Amino acid sequence: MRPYLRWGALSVTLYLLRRLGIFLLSLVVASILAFVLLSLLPGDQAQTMLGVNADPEALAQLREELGTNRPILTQYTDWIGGVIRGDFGLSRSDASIGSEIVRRLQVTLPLVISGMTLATIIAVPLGTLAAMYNRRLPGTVLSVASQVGIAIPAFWMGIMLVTWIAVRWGLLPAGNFPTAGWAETASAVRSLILPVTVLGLAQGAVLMRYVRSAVLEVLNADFVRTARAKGMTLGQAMRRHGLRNAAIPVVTVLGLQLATLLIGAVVIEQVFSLPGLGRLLLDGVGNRDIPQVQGIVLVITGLVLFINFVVDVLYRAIDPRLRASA
Amino acid sequence: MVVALLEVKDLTVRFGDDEAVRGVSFSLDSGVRTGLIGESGCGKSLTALAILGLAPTTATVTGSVRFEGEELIGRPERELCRLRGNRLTVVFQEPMSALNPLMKVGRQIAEVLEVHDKAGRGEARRRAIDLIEMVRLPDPSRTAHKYPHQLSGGQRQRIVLAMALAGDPALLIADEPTTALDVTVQADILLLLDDLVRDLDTSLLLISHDLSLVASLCEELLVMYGGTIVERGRVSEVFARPLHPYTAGLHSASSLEHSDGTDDLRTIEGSVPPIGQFPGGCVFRNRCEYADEVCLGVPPLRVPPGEPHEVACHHPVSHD
Repeated sequence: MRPYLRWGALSVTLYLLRRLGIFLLSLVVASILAFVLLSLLPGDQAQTMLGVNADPEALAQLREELGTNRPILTQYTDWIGGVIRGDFGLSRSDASIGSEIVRRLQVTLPLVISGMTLATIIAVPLGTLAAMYNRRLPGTVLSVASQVGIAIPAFWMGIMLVTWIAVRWGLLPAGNFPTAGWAETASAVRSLILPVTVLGLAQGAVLMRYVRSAVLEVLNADFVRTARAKGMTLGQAMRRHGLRNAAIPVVTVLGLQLATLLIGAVVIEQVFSLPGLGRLLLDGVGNRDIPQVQGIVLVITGLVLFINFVVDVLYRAIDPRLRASA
Repeated sequence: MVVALLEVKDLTVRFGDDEAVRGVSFSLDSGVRTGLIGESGCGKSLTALAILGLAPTTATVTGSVRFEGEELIGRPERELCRLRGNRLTVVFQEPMSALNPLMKVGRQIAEVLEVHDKAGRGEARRRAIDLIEMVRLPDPSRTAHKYPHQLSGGQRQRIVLAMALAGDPALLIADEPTTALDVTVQADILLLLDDLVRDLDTSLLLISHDLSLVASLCEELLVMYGGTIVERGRVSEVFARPLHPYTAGLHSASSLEHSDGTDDLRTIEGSVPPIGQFPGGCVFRNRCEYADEVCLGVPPLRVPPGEPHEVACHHPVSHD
């Protein structure tokens, strides 16, 4: 018989180390791509800053100052060396890119994480119910509700909430994240309530469809029938055997949604005028502020790779079949 | 009066207007091993699921199923759950998908005892290991800690069998328990099944399409076609003198002694129609070489003069 590695400490450590290695390697490759591709764009920084009719001498001097006349490899090692020390360089407006990214992440990360938490809290029970009551009234009502939720554009839902809850009734602020940031905790929290709600509802509607189909699949699985043949009610069989199996595809979708939202939340950030990372990226692209875009792309790539890493570890924790070939 | 262990009367399973099982009636006595035989699509598995109360929710089940004297049709789910896995158990065809891939097999066996409050967690774990030993798997305490994907198909089916026997059932329904397995493994599992039901004095309803398998394991035989029982009797009698043309066809199709003039195995002409498209009257009419206008009427299940067993046919095969 084939020997199988035990789900022991050694196997876990080896797996985590290997996965961490892949994570770091991917990050290096991503950083090279992000730097090189953006640097090779036609119209370099000096040109954009001085305009098309700039004096060639002034251009040359600026390139000298910016260091963009050096070989690309030197530029890269210089940049990545800075990044490793936490120095992302200066933006066009001479601000520290690193501290600006950190400031923006303090808005985007809480927004995205709370939004997806809310989405999960909505989607898992409702999606499960929709599957259990499939083809019956409650199931149909829930399916229609999720379809409507998917069909409504998030920005429109945001504008409606701003119009009614913020403007008409004045219950909550329409965004306006405080300039002092999380130092003003209460108003920071209040400013995020509406955006998190919109994000949670919109993503929850999508996630609910995946939960529903995953649970439906499991409802018809042979092992659930076996569990019922053991004397469990359908509810018991689903709780003990069904839901953990249904979690596998749902974790995939959750990871994808989280990764997409790091930038995708820009729509919500725009509606609620929140200083998030997505908006910083858009501004950077608009200004052709290449160092800033490079920095943001690298940070986002790192976050996405990290999410994938977590999803991978979760898979392995849920599904013993993935532990076999360690 | 002795009450039959299982008494099925007029069991009918409908999907919309289509009858997949039509008025099936039979009874099983304690300690008897009975084979239920027929081609794919004849309603064997659905009959088993309907007895267990596990027919698909889209199906309508009518008729009567009495188990140990108690009616099961229309019984609340909670009460059915008390019987299932306990007095009345089942082994399904697919050992590959019948087990939860995310749970250790020992745990899955122990669960049966816990669900029926026969043991606490620790005690259930110990008894699960005993059960794994009973189904003759090597190194029971290590096997208990394995996940289904770490076991072969035959080993998994042994685990499923251990789960089905954990509650010390009065009746075990085995639905094609070896069909998905390799031929060499099939023989081992059948031998095990045979030994265990004898040792535990459990009645067996063995569902199969394989005549020789039923012949080697069972005493009584039910032949099903088109959702109804077309012949029943003791295995030895039905095999020696099959009365229904369908049984006779099955018998010669599975026997190497019966070949046609060109040395090919005999087959039954045509194939089983889809549910809802069986002919009216006798369900086998469109494939039967003896069919005539009398067969437009439904034949009752009766004992022909001079015969030891029952058949539902207007023109039983003559053995004179």
